[in-house]
Amino acid sequence: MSREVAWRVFAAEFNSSSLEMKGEGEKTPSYLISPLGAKMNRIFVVGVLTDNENVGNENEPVWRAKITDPTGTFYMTAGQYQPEAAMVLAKLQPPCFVAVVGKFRTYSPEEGKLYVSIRPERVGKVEASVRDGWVLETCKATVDRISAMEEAMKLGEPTVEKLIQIGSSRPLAEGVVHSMQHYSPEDLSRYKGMVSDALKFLLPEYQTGPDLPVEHDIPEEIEDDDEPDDVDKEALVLSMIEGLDSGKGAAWDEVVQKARSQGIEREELDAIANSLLDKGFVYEPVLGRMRKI
Amino acid sequence: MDREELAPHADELARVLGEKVDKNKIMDDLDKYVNLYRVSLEWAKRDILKKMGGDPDSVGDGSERKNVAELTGAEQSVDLLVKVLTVNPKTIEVGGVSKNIVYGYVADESGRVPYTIWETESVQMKEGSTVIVRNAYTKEYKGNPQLNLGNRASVEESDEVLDVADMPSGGSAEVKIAELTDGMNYVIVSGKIGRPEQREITVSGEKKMIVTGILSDETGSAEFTVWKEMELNDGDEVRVIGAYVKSWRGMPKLNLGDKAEVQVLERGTLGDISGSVPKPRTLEDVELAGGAMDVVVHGTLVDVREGSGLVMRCPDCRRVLQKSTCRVHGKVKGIDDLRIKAILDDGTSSMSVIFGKELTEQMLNISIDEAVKMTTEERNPDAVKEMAEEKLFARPLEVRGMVRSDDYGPMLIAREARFMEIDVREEGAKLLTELEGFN
Repeated sequence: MSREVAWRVFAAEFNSSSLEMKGEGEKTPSYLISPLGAKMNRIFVVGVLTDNENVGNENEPVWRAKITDPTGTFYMTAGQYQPEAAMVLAKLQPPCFVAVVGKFRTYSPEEGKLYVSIRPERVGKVEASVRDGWVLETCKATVDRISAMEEAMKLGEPTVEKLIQIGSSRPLAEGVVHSMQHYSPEDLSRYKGMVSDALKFLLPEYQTGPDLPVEHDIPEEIEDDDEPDDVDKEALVLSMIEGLDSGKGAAWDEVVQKARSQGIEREELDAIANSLLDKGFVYEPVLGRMRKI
Repeated sequence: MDREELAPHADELARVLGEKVDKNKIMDDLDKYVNLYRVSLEWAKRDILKKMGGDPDSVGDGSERKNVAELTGAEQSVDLLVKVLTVNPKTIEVGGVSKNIVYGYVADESGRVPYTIWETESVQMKEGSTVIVRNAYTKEYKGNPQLNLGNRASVEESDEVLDVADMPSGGSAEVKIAELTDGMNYVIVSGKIGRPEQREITVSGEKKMIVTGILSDETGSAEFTVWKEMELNDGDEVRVIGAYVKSWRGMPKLNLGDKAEVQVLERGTLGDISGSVPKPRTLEDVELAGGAMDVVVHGTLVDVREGSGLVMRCPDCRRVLQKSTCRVHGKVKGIDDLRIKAILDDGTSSMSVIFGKELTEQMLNISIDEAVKMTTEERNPDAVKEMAEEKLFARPLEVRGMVRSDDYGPMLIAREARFMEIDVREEGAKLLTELEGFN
């Protein structure tokens, strides 16, 4: 059995994934299919460790960490079955650059909802240059997936063989076909914008200041919204989270509903929530719940 | 199929044959072929046309009839009359599930083309047989067409005799060394001869001279054996015609049998290959080839495996000791050695890689004496392994070496390695420009 390749995906693409293909039997792996057709079992991620907390106890530690990239935040949990990763996390003080190789894991609080996080196999502290290299590599990989999606859309009813014929690798061709069946037609320009922004993050001419925390700006740029409007909406969402919190944090589904009733759609809400997380106004005590700090 | 359903097809045949044949005769024949002999309708039409002096290619189902030399690599549906040169079954991994495929070469008088059968249940071919392939598709790989037989394809044996044994050499495409895969036949490849050696072997009691050596081009190197006497010099640039490929531990090796021909080219024809580094290949490409004698890959080190770091080896057999004990020689005084076993992953595939003592020293910037000292002082047998994890994990590397395959899959035995320095600004700006065009 050959080892599963480690996909290079940005947080925004990873977190938008809602199609899980469970392997049948013991030896067949499960896959998470992203909207761009990444057929992931294992992923490779480099970003900034922004939060790192032992939510277990001294004897049975469970480390929960957040890693941001230029597009969003990866959530990661390492417990007793990830002893090496947990040991490394125990020694890391955020913020620092970390690299993670791990498998996806999903949490589905109800039918039709899927939250994804990383179960790390290996975690290590790295230098900024490794992160920059990863951003570039992930931009290239994302562009390849966008191209494959575009080709597939042109075909109308794409088959795996046809996509391979055009030049996709087999795993990507399979992922693209699954993606097209599951996701409503994806707005690829949103992902192109995401890649552009991630590239600009690497290029000094696009950076306005040396300490600019670019992560904060990206979601807003993707949404193409006006700055002041956004700040108001962030305040609004923050008050929603506070209002819906009965002690264990506000359930994300309820936040989504409430936001919708106030005219904030899901994508925009994701961006606002990411921004709030990044700015440290809220945190996630458990996956799927948010609390005001 | 009743006669009423057959009628329009009989009409079509009558039209093609002109009015020279009686329509009732056509109808009777068609009825006999289809209903009595159970020949497929399409095939029946072709046979009748041929028998009555018409062109069988003038009827069809939209699939184009071509000969091999006409293939462009963009055919959606194509029919060919070909001789099956080679048939190689192979099991591949498709999304974690193993799948049987068959690959090899087919040829007609115009040339030869590699093929892959993706549905081995429904489509089978026999080596040496002549067949009509229907509804195949092609794609281009490194500038050459490849024939694919997917789930729509079918194959029927044919009695026609194709003269492919004396196929003109110009009719088949020349390949690069990196493209050599196990089971290839009638290979044409050019390269520079390295380390030629005349050897005497004994074949069924008779002494025979053979030549072995290495053939290199800009994509890689492969060992070769010429199974006859031949004068070859180090540095000769040659074009080999009609070789076949057999792999040993996954590494493709060229064999030049009695029919193979070697043309010595004027020196300099192939440019300067000596001392040049092969072009980087993806891990997926190397894995599909099964191995390579000399390969350069770029990838990220995603895991450091057990057994890495400072190890003790048996002084007699070099086996790694477990608790100062050799599996064969028992308790011995071991010799210190350094090695790293790791996984390299480039996003297309992943592969085991082994770095020996010199490369471990170089990459960790530590000598073996320092490694021994560190391990003793820290009282930690894994001190060097932990150092390797810290210094190598997630780092992009360029590795050159040899890839061999065994039951555990392909393994890269590194000869050179370096940390890659990527100019993210330059490459990022380039990609951004492309992307803005793409928006």
